[in-house]
Amino acid sequence: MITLRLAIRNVFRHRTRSVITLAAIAFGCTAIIFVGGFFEDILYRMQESYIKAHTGHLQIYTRGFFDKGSARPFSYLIDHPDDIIALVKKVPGVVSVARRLQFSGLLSTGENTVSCFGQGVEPDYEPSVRLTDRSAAGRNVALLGGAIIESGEPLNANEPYHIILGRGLAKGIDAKPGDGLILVSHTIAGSINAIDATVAGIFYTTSKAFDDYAVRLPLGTTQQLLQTESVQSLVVMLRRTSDTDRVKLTLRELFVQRHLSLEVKAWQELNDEYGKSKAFLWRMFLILKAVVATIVILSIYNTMNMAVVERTSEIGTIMALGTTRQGVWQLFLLEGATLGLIGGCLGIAIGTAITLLIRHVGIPMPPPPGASMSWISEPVIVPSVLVFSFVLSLITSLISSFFPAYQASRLSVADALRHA
Amino acid sequence: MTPLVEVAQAAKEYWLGKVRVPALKGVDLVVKRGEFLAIAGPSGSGKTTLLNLIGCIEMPTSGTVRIDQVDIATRSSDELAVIRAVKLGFIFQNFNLLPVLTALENVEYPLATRDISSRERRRHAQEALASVGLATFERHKPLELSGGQRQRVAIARAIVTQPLIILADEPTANLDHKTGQDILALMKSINQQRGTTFIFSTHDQKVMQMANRIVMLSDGQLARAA
Ligand SMILES: Nc1ncnc2c1ncn2[C@@H]1O[C@H](COP(=O)(O)OP(=O)(O)OP(=O)(O)O)[C@@H](O)[C@H]1O
Ligand SMILES: [Mg+2]
Repeated sequence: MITLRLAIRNVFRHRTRSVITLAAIAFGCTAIIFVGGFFEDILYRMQESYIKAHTGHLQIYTRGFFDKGSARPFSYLIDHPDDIIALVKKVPGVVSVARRLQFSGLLSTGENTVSCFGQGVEPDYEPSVRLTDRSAAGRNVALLGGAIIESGEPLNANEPYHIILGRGLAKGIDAKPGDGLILVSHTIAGSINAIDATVAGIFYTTSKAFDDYAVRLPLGTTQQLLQTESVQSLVVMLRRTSDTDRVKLTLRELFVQRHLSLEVKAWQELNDEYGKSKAFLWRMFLILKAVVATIVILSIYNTMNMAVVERTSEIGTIMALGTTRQGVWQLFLLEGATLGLIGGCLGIAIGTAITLLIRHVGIPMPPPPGASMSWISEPVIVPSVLVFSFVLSLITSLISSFFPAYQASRLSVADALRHA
Repeated sequence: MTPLVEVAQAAKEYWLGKVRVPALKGVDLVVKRGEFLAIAGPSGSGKTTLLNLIGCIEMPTSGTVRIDQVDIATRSSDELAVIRAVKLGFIFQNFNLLPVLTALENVEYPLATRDISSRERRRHAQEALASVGLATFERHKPLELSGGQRQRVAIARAIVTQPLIILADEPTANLDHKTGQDILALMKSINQQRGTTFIFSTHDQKVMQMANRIVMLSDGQLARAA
């Protein structure tokens, strides 16, 4: 007990020095807590915007489509989706199941003709937001709401020949809302078909590559153009993204039980970019952690080393009084641990406060790679990162006191006592 | 009665780089229980070195040192730490109190590893502090005490474990004459009342005269026993 008291009081003996050391630890923790929360927010936005605008949480196809469908898309259609939809909708956590039918085609204004990627969707289930519609979900609605209607109107189930164009595509053929266009495609039987359509609106998503080619139109119209009753994929939206893996497993089991030749893919599998960005960001985070750990270790080492040198005659005294070498070692380790403990607590408090403050203000961000919209990041507090930064400051403080404590315990008692 | 301290042909050498410095050159000394012994001698004569050998702080280069019949050369550093904690008490020229602890806590410190309740520890420390006349200074930090008071706290810290021997290396050298004599008188009264053996070193003639026996060190050798 007296050892603990001694350790704590020794820590506060040199106020300025201890305050500087504690500040270094707290600063390191703050950096980790903030950057962890910032990266977490970036990944979360990336994940959610992609889910809403592109993939949904899960997609269901005829078995084989995912691997071979790009070459022969119409060989893997789902012929009677209604039973499957009813089945999927019963799984807890599922919010909606939307049908999609995709094709490649040509889009013509009469003067200009460009190739395009058509996506037949159910307007009621595919989220889209008007850029002006910010009140509903705050300033970052643009990021979480799915496709963003830049001008004009979104798709409307009651207007079968109204289509919306990706921003890049619209620019390429100089199309505006209200313009009439001709959309040409192969039917699934192989002949050519075309429809007259009106541009309802221009949209964009987080993926510029998609916006440069995409046309979205109502599913019924697409089926008419391709002359089929079938669909290609079912897009499943869940209440919570964290349910993805569970629902995926349930669906798989369900399909096996019912002998349905279907496959289920989760959003992570459909979004290659997300996985890579995540790996990239966590690698950078790891480097930051290593840098912080090094700074903390050096600053505590310096403090502890000075303490041992300054207190040489005290060390001699307590050893003369019968304190063992191990006792001296423990005393200095305890001092280091006290620094780490206090620094870690301060770090958590300051890190949380600063992160929340920045979250409140928001960080204006440039568009992510491959995207076209700037946005505002709101860093979050990640509990596991809080725990990590605390454990890090404790462990690094023990590591960096280890050697000074060892040196203290190895001092010759006589020499230490003669030390002025 | 067997002697408490037996130093036989003890020599101690230091090396300063390649230069051999003989600090003690074959010292024989026997100290009996209850003695109040002064080690006198000029600066550099080896007083501190001899006290360090008796205090199990240093090992002789040759010869033997027995404390309560134990040859200290045969013990590990942890075993010596236990001997110091249980059988020996120390008083230093510079008082050597721990500055972050109060007077009472300083006195309590040597009891830290004892297997007794913290309340009992506290009571022992209070008694020791009271016996050196500092009962009202329990909460003072060393920096808030005079030199004489600090040395009294150090004496309380030395007696709190009820050691067999208290070693004091120039306990009065940093005190004025009057205070030094008071400290010596306090040591002497402890010696008489408790029977604790004291071995102390000094330059001071007056202080020396208070001893039962004086041994003179000169250039690492005992000159004569008075
Ligand atoms: N660690 C050491 N290394 C080298 N020489 C040392 C060491 N310690 C002591 N000596 C030498 O040993 C001799 C005896 O020293 P010691 O300290 O025992 O003398 P002392 O009688 O206590 O002197 P003083 O009255 O000045 O305290 C001196 O010559 C000293 O320089
Ligand atoms: Mg000396």
